[in-house]
Amino acid sequence: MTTIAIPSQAVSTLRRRSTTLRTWRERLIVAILICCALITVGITLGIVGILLTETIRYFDPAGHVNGQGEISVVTPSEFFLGLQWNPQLGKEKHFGVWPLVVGTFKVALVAMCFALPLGLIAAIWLSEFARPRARAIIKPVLEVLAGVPTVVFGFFAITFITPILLRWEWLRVPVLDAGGNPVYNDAGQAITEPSGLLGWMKFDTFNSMGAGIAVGIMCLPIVISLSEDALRAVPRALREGAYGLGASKFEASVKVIVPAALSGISAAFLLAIARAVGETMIVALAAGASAVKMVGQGGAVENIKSTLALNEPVLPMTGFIVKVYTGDAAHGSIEYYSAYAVAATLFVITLALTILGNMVQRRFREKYD
Amino acid sequence: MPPRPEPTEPKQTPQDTRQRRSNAKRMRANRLFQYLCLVATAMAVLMLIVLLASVLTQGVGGLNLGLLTQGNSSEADMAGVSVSLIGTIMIVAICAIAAIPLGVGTAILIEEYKPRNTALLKCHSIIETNIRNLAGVPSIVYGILGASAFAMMFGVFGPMGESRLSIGQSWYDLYQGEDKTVYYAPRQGSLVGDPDIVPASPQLSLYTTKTLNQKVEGLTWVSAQQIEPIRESILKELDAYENKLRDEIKNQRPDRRSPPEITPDEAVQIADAAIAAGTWQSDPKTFRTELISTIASINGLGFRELIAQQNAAVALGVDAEYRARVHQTIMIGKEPVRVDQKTWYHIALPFGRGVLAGGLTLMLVVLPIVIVASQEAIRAVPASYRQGALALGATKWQSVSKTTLPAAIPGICTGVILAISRAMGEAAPILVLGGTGYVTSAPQNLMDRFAALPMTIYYWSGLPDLAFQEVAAAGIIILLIVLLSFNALAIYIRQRAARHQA
Repeated sequence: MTTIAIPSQAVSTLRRRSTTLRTWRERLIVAILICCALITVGITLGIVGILLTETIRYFDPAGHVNGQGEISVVTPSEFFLGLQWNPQLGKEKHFGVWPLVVGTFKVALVAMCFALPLGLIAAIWLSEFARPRARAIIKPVLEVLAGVPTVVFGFFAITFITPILLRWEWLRVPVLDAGGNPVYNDAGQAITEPSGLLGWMKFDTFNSMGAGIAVGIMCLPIVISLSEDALRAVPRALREGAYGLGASKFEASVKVIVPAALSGISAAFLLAIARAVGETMIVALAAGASAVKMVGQGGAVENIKSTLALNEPVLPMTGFIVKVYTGDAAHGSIEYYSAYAVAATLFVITLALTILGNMVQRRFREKYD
Repeated sequence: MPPRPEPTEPKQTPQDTRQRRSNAKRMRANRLFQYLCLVATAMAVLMLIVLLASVLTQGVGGLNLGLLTQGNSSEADMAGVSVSLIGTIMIVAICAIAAIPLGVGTAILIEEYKPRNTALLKCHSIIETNIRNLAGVPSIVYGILGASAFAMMFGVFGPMGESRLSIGQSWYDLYQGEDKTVYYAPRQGSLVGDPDIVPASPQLSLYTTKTLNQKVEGLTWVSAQQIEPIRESILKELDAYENKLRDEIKNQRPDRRSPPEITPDEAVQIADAAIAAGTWQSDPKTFRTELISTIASINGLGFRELIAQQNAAVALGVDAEYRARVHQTIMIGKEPVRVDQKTWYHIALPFGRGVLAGGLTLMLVVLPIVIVASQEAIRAVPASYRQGALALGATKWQSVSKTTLPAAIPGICTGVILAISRAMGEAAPILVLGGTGYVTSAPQNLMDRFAALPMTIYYWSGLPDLAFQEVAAAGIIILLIVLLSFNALAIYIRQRAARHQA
């Protein structure tokens, strides 16, 4: 290899010029990357900004005029403390948000009662008891379940789950007339109809239990995969210590490993709840279009029963937003603004749950190394 | 050797019995728990099997070639997914093109360019926490943000229907000639901010509901110079017609004074007589309505009261007076009808409820997923790659782009494919943008309305006609086939990458 003699002055000028160009190129690239990252911050600011401004406009003291010239005023106290929601019913308009929130949490509660125990136990099996071959089959199956669009779950709810709830053929009850006496047909036999699933609960076509079960099935893969990650992250030393002290697998799992992974499991639960609260398409198809009646004609007991009932239609927050956007709400009318206010409430609730989940995962993670 | 003593059995103390019994209980509990775990996992797998089986049994009957080739329709056997598939492909493509650079760039910044300054470090951790929180936001909130930011653009560029700035949209004037030919010529003058004008003749209205993009028969193109003599002749004919009407009205009155006062009934009679004798052979009912309003205008009667008495006119719309005045001018020939033609590269600000806005809204939904997946992929690259490059004298960006990124590409690909699968299944943001999702034809340009497959499935599932359930199930099968193939692609890429690195 021949060396070329370059005068040192030329070398120094060469190096200086290419270094400056390179520095500017590096800075430009870093600037571009920072712009990309700032867009994500911009997204959050955009969401907060839009929801905030439209909600403030919703609480305008001057009120909103609808097509017939009526003026409706919604105050923040009525929205956040009111217990009735019927924005379109003739003269009586109520804009309390609690029926929507209760509806959302009813569906989420059914979903979590279904998904959390099942998911945690399945995660324990996958991490403790399963052989590698079984894991290799089941993990892709759960990934497929996680990738199924939520519309499919909604369709499944209205074509499979709800008919089962409605027409549980194995349990028939006699049809009762107005006076509570059984009705007899011509041959003198009592006419029976399929009772509800539990024999004493008659389900409507739209109910919160069917939607809740479908949301639970949708959240199941999340719970399983996050819990399993948390369980596998427990160091082997803990496990081996427990086995060394004579614990069976059951005792080691329940008394040692799950408590050690509790932070990750709680984070998984909170994230699953956040996902269930924010679910849209399943409840839009299966849950119904009328909000929970928290304040009715009867007394307090009737109100509590209708609030907690699982066989009646519910209108969750996301369901209401869907109703506004697929209906004929005019731009600038009160329904249009209510959608924004309800979306703001939904955003705050899911953000709180997600932040709590991330915080729990980071703060209470026990450091074993 | 003395005989070995017999080994004595250990004494069976009560403690030993208790220990043995409790051991047995523990073993039983252990086995029960194992079965419980197995049952739970089997149930989870069973859910998927039941779901797929239910959808398959319901949808298999509806799977035929017609499903793939037909578009939306109000009858179940004529309904198909072709329009929705094209719409889905377009918005997912736009979403991917927008999300990949943004997501990978953000991930590179977060992973590789960690600042040392404490203030910048705070910003860095804020960005990271922000992305993690964005992953939990419901997709319908993203739909609301996308509708405000991309479709309406916060109202900065004017309302959605009338776009202030538009490229690739040309306007033409339609004139109906004397031999029933319809001429169209490029519009003279600017059109910014002008609303559409409803034509009088249903013939002309047929041409405007189908824009010039959809090949309409019977249109004759003329240049702007050629239209002048045609326009002159139309105006002359219409002036003659108006004079004939005035003469008819004058002749009806015994005292032959003008302007006469005509009651609505008389106006109706005159219109009927004129129709019987007239040459303007459009749809008689529409023509009659406009003729009545014309007579009333010639006569000076108020439009609103007259038209309010004619139910056909009320059915035309709310702003009857404006429309009546417009009908009059078109019939008299003073104003042509405006049509537009949009090229394939038509872009308008604001974006409106089109494909571009839909794609960008989906990008908002999948961006956190792409970022987190790319972060994991970049983190998985051994630090020795980067350190080696830096030791050899590479700059920061050179070390990232030439060593870390190529090594992380399989992981990034997997993340991108999973994000695309998620985007294909999202219906909530599209719902906020598009409403019901009933669109009759595939989008022609980026601003055109579209229908996405999950949205169409939702629409079909909610219809009262039970035959649509079968079509919806068939649509779900098609969607699942596309999604499963994408997931299989992701798994294949992951395995090939594992083999490469191993």
